[in-house]
Amino acid sequence: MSLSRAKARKRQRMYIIGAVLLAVAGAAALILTAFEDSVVFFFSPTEIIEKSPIDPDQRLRIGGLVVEGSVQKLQDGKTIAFAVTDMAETVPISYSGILPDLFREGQGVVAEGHMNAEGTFVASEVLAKHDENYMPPEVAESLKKSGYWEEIEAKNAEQMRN
Amino acid sequence: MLAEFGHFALLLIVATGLGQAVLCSPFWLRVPVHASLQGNPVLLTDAGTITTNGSTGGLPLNSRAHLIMPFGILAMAIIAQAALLHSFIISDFSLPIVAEVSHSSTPLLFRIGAAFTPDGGAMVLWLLMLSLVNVLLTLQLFGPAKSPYAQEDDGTLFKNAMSIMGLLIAVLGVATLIDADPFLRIPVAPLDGRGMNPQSQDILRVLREPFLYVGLAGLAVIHALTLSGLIFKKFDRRIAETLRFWTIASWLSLGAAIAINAYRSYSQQAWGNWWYWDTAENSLLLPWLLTTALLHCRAVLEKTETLKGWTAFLGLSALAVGWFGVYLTRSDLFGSLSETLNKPHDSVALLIGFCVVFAGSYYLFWRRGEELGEPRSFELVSRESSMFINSVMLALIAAVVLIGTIYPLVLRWFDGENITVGGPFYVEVLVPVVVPLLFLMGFAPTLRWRQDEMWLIGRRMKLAAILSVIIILFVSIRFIELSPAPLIGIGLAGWILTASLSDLWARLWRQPDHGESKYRNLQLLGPRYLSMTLAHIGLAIMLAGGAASSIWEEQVVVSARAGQSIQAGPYNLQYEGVALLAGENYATRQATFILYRHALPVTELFPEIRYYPIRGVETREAGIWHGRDGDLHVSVGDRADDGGRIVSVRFLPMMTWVWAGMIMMLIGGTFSILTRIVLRFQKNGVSTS
Repeated sequence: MSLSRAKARKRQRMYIIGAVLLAVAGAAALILTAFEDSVVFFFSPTEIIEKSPIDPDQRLRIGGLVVEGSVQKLQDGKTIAFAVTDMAETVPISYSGILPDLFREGQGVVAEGHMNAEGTFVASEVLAKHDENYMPPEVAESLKKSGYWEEIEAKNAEQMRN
Repeated sequence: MLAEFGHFALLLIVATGLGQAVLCSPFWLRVPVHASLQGNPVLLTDAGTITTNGSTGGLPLNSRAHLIMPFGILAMAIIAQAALLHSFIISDFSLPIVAEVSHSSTPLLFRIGAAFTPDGGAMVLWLLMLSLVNVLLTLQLFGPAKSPYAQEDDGTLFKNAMSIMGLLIAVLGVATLIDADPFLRIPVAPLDGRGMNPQSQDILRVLREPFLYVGLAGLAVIHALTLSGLIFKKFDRRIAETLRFWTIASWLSLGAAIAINAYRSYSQQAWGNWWYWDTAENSLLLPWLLTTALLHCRAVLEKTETLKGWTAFLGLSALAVGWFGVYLTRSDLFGSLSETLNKPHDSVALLIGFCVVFAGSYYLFWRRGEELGEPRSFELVSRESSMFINSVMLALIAAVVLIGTIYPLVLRWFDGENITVGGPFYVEVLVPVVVPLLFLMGFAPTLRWRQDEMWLIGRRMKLAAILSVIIILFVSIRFIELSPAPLIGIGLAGWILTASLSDLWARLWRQPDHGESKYRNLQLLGPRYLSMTLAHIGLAIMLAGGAASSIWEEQVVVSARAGQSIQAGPYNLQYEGVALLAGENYATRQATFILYRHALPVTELFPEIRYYPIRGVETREAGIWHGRDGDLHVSVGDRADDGGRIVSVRFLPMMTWVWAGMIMMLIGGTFSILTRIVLRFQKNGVSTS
């Protein structure tokens, strides 16, 4: 009696361990495949220029400062064209829709979308949910890479003082 | 001056927390001298440990001194919180924390709300909630209306849990003081503050915080009880019974925080989506997922005393992911920006505390988990195993969400490469996990404990299966071009809904007649069953709404002139123009729309663009109408070049179901907790179901 119970328990434990291992292995496989095809890479304008031409099917994010005076609305009234820069290179962006709350000329912005054949970044989304520091972290980083971080930071600090 | 009192109170919280940890510690038992001093005969139990016969354990003096500690901590926490709120209310800018997130022009309500948004303020709130649940735990375990299991207990196990609570409070108190001391003062106060982040100036954002931290505090109690169960190798029905209130309470308040957060993202951002998979949201979702798993395993533990190890693991992990989530949302450890952008500190003490607490907890689990013992076993087809499988699935989902949240941060840290893990990743990974989970969820409540038969399940679920196949066929024939994922979602929602309802029906009408009314049958089902059914149906409704609104969403972006009407779904919006109005600390351009449904006026909507001059930031508030066939979501943008104004109108069919489903789940949890409390006081803890 006790032997069969012990056996049953052992079998049960085997089930449990087997199920958990199977689940973990399955999840790991799923995660790895998903990382391969649904992760969106972030590029700075310099990197975009370096890597171009970029496959128009690849979704990616671009971030930089909105070039002052570059924002214009196209004829249809809802498509907006602007350019982002990391002070080294500049990439034109087109976007139709309402720009997010924190969108400003001269400030940092992140857009998600794809490059078209003409070298314009067609944004399907301009990200609204970065924090209040006026600078998405990725943008700050690409500015550091291009070596213009200090300049921008000093300018921002000055604006804040005014 | 009051801030210094608060600071002192914060220090005292740490000291009193440590005091509680020491006074309630079970290690006093190891010293027989104290027991003999006390005048009680010393008993050598068969386990080889020495206990006193006085059935109190603990301190040498047979005192209940330790029971005063929680009240002392609560008083300190209230003082600290009051001092902080006072500093915000009077706008005392000599405290950097106030100057950072508040301004003299901020309205009173949001000056109070701002007190919870910076790291230090959030920590004070967390400490307040922790000390509140600490007192509730004391009352539950040692108070006049204590549960029958607590009455049986000789006091050591539960006292040990109080000791761990004291320790947690002390650790978090120290972390508050080191990382983000809210009561620091600077000698020269700035003339005014930087103002509250306008995106946080929202009543929902303020409401979310207390719910989040009550939830996390409840998880701390679960952690403490689980840990002391492991220490004493008594992880049994008694613990499960004691955990019941805390799991439901944490599940409920974390769920409420998630729902509030979702609604806020939906209504405030111009591109309002209710779920973004961003770090803040994931850090709410993670503990909620594990608490949901725990909720079910705890029921199994209470009923059959099986799944001990797994339940204990979940009990420890729920707080672990909650704590880690708090750390993630406020740390820049993985970024390289802390030195220039944010505050100079990085929540290091919070991280170190996390590592120490959970290294200890998991070490103990590893050592003791094996020794818990499972008195009974169950078959593969049984209620226990279905709950176990689903809790593993929930834990897997949590693991996926955790990996998705951390992976980009780790990659950036190591490689300097920036990637985004967003919606597509989670959908791709989670669909294969969620589908079997929801399928099992449909019939798991009908399974018998210990052993059940496949053919019996088939017979029981016949009706539900047929109905849900009909729903899928109907939807897929009517909308042929539909992609499979949302269709599966709708099908599974139908499956859970019909399965829950048919089970309820069977229990109400096919039950042997008690010779009484059906109302009596309803009563016999008990609050647990009813709240469970309510929550399951709520999830199904939310799922259906989410799937449907994602498929049939219609969006129109136009440049509108006054008087122009915009068609979206069955609705017609007439744009009336924009008025410039003054808010309390902002200026707003408020647009007016008249909403018609089939040419009949329904209501007026007022989406806004607010401008907050203090931070020079604009925010956009959407106008939302919850109609019977879905939500109408309208937001306005800048002026277009042709003289019109850019208007974005979205019609989200069945979106109302998402909110209704969330509310139903919350009502289910509330109902369960309320009946629990009523029963406790009616019958002194005897539960009927």
